[in-house]
Amino acid sequence: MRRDVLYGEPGEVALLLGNEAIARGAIEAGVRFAAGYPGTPSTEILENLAAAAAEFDIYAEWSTNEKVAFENALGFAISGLRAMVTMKHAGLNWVSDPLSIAVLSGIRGGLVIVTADDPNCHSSANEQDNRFYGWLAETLVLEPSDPQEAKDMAREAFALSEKIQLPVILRSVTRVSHARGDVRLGEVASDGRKAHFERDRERFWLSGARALQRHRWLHNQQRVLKEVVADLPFHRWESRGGEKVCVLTSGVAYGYVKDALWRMRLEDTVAVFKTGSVRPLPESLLKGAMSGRELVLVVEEGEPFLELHAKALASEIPSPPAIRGKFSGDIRWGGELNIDAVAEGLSRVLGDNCTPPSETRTQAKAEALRAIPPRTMAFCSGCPHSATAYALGEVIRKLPFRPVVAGDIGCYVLTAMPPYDLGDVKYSMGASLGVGSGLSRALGEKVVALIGDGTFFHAGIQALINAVYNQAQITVVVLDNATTGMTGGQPHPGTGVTATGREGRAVSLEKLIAGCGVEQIEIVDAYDVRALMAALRRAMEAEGVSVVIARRECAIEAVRHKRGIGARVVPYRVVPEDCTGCEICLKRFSCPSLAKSVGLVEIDPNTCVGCGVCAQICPVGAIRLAE
Amino acid sequence: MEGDLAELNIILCGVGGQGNVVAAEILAMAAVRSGLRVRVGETFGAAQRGGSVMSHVRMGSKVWSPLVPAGACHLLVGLEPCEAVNTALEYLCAGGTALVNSSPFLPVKVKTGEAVYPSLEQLKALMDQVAGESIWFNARELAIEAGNVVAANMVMLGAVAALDRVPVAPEALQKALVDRVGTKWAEVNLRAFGLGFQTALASAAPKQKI
Repeated sequence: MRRDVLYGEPGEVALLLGNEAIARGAIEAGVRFAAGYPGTPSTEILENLAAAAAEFDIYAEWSTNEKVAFENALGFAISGLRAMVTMKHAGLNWVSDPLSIAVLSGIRGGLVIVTADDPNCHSSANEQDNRFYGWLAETLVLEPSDPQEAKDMAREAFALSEKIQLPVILRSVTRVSHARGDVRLGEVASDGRKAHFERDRERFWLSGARALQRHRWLHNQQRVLKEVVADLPFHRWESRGGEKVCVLTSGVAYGYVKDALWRMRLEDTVAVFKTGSVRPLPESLLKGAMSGRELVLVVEEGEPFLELHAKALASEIPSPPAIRGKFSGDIRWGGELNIDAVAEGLSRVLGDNCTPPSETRTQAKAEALRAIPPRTMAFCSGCPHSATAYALGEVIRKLPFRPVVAGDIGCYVLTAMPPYDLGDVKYSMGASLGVGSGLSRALGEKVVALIGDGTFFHAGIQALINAVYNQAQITVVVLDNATTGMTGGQPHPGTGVTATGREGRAVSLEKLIAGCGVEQIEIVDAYDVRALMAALRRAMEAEGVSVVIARRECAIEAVRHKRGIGARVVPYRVVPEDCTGCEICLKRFSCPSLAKSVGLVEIDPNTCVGCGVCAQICPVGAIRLAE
Repeated sequence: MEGDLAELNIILCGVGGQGNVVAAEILAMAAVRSGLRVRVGETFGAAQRGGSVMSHVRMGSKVWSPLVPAGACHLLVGLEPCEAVNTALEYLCAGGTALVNSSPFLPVKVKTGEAVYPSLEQLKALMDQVAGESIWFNARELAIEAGNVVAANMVMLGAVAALDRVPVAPEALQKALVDRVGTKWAEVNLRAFGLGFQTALASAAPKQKI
């Protein structure tokens, strides 16, 4: 854990990850509550706040999902204490329901919602521009352009939230959250507030007339938002005067714009207005920037959010400039921006003579494409999900029909890759059970739904109850590796460990599932191939909802524990005299420790974790413990 | 120092688990402490599961965003040969410098026998189509010599220090290394750093600052 985040002195310049900077900003503001759900690219914010919890009197938790995290945060915010919730873009979809009411009730202690969006969906099922939620919620949205701004905005957001009496959305993206930069640290405020909940049903118990009244209040509050936004220290107006072209930008795109303008030697020719708030916009400043221009090029990461509003605002200017950007096809729409994409857009609107020279190397690249094999993702050595996928694949192979496999979010998405090819539909967190249920009803056949332990606690319970209650025909395979793996091994209710490392109350997965009414439940060690196959067979034959919990600790976590206590990992080896070169272990099973070697197979003793699954799969028993 | 440098772009590339990100962090930390403006861009996530990893380290007064544009990388540090070539073809500027660990990390398709890993000769030839100077050595062996195969990333960092391309003193890099890995692991990592430094020093062309 970065010491600078926690102990860096004001004025010190540290190298911080954008997420570390956001955590530091919250600490500087005296945040007292932090919650979230692990999700790339946001995870490190909560990890750092959890590490800082004891020192700075912060209550920090991993919540079961983002909606619950936000609701818990509300408890602090309406009691006058500062709170932060963190999530990837998908998480705000969960938060939107309570948020829609929270903005009517308003808050007392600053409440900051950090959404770390993932343009280009490097680690997500989709890309989504959460700035739009600012309109749905009718609240302030700030967008930092680099780690320094991420810290400063995170810090200021709490005071701003208290001024407007509404939660504030801080919209980060991968290239800010997961970028590192030099950050000047600030003073850490000691927030000596005591919680106090002032009863006020007119605000906090809404429906009908009261809700309407509060909605009018919210509309009225927009006046305060406008004032606040006009004075924000996060806008930049860079102009020598008289430029025909102005770039309107925000967030990470500002960095790409600056880089592109410098490389193209256009710093003195093109004006730049960078706004710190994307909703509302600082209207009079922006209108001032746009007046007298022939053209405004909007450069932003995500959807044409600023562009839409710039167009609306332009109609209020006499002789308005042309507004170009994504709608006009000048800036790439879909995927993330970078310096080249912005440079392309600039040269398009300014004329070809500004195009920077491009390096082609097509021949060399074509040769490399032929010669260099692609590097595909694979399960880690010893991953229990790989073992489960093998067992499931073997069982399905013997069935009279090929069941649809509904998957979910986590490391087990890799079951859809070769050699397993198990995975037909995947949506959002916890969707596998519901989609599986619907499919089973539509098709009139058993459907397999895969879900991880973390995902199940997050979003699977409701759909399981529904499946039992409404009698769907699904076999649920819960891949229980005792962690939230894909995001780096965070704890969840099944593990009984909390974000701050304290012991929490563990919630039993199998008791919970039984409590949902499932009768056919089996728990099997994922490394026990035969037992797992038998259990899966029985589950597939059973009527209604059946559950198999394939249980085995994540291999990375297991090895870490072993190393921590000084225990040795004993690898397996292939006995060359016994290996027939059938390659079943390579073609039907996936483990990066196995490699083909001169007609036989070899196991890398440096990476083998000794799970023994390949030894069980080998039809001739040629794989044994190395010692 | 800070006033001199407009823009220096370095990319460290390899496979998830090779310590790419940590090496980039150390480099960037040392640069920040030397008063430079620094941006590092990375993609986490798929890395742990055998995917390609790149860390873009940019430093200088005319640097705002974290990703190096295509063809604008001055110095490429390849922890893996194929990764180095792919990255160089996309990002290395014509005549740029490459430091490459010659020890391969086989992709899954090669392990299963579905694909063949290209020869070092072919990879070097491809690299030489763009690089002005490329130094190849077996960092994995040097790491084992230093005491831990995992320290190959520090071997490469030592090599970077020897080139004298980066306006950060080797001592500053070593201090940042120790601060980052902690006292328990400092010795073996510093040894690896030293071995990389010596190796690159012996192979490099006369020093030239960019």
